[in-house]
Amino acid sequence: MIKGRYNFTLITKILNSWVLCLVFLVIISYLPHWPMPISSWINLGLYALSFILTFSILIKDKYSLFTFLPFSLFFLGCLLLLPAMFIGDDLIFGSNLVSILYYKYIFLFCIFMFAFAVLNYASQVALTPKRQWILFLASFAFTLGVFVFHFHDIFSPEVTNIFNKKFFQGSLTYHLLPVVALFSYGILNPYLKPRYGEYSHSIMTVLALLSIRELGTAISELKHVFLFGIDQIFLTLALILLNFFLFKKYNFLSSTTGAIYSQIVNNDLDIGNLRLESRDRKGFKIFAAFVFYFYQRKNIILPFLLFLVVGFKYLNPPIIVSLNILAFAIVTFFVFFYFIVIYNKKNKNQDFYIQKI
Amino acid sequence: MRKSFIFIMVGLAYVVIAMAASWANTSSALDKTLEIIGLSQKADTSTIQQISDELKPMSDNAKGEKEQQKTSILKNSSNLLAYYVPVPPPGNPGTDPKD
Repeated sequence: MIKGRYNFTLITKILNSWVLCLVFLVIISYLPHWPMPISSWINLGLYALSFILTFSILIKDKYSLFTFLPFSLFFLGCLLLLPAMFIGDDLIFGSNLVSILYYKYIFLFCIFMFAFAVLNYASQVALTPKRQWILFLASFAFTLGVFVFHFHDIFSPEVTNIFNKKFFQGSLTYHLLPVVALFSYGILNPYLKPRYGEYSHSIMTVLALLSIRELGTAISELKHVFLFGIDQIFLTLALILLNFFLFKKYNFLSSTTGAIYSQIVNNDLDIGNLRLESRDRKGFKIFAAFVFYFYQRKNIILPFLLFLVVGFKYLNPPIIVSLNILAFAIVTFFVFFYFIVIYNKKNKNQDFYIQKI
Repeated sequence: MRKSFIFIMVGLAYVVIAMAASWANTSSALDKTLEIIGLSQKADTSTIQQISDELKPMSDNAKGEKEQQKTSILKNSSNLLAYYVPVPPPGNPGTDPKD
């Protein structure tokens, strides 16, 4: 009998598969390959774990098939980029040209799958349709249209040098698609009343970070701002968080409660006079307690802000640092404001309860 | 019907935002802002030049060619995914897309 919150049999199974992947990566890293920094090797290992988790989720839960299949394919695509590192004139097999072409097509597949996966995920969670495949096809068609519009110039095998100004211009507007999808989900949340809870929302938060990272990368490449690999560290942190939430979701779906909840959310289980507390209530309660704590300590907030202002004036940091901190403060304020409004609205309309339709 | 409407409206919102972003990118406003906050293209080229200068002495070593190759890979590197982009081979028959 399983006691506690986590099913350790699942953890062991997943960790064993992952360790096998890591051992394989370590072994092949001794073969001749194109230079690759250590952070990229770490990210590859994390992509492998993400693939194992998403694949396990879509096998475990039949309702997650259309939601997690694109993610699974995306992470598989990221892993398939690895052989490009071993193809080259002085490497194991092939030529440099083959390496570039292989890299190019898998890379295009990856950027397509990423936007498609995020758009599909946001729309599936938001709209919870009865026939998921229709929304899946609609998301696929829409993303494909946008993708072809932006990158049709580089499909030809004759084009080898893809990373130029035009590509990054396309990349900038193309990667707006997942960002717009996720932010629309957030804005339309009170009207759509999605039934999914904390795990889906946590995953979406990390996906928003990853999407914004892609957007930021495109801007920095366009404006020739050298990032010194900071984005790779950011990617590593985001992937660790994503894997953590994916595992939590997998753990929940594997439990009896999760299986029943999943059926209720997808209108597959008919229970008379159903009134079920939705899973996002817990997160909102913690947030409300956090805000209430600040409210209780309101007397020290103003002196604290004054102290910060004086400190800034004394330190006189470069304008870019001040702008960053200011932007961070503004975004934090908006996030707080948004969650307070949503919490009040949900509380007022009894949206924290899933009722029978 | 309501769900399809929402999906289409979000799609339209994306098209409008993408067009606005495209326009903002082609206008000089963003360049000027970057220049003001010290992230202009000029500042960047000097940084890359500095890095190249730092790497130059290495090319005089016995492993000079290998280091030079690494430098060229560094210049061709992309942050988009976790990999560096392989260097196009010399005499590559491929053509670049027009800017």
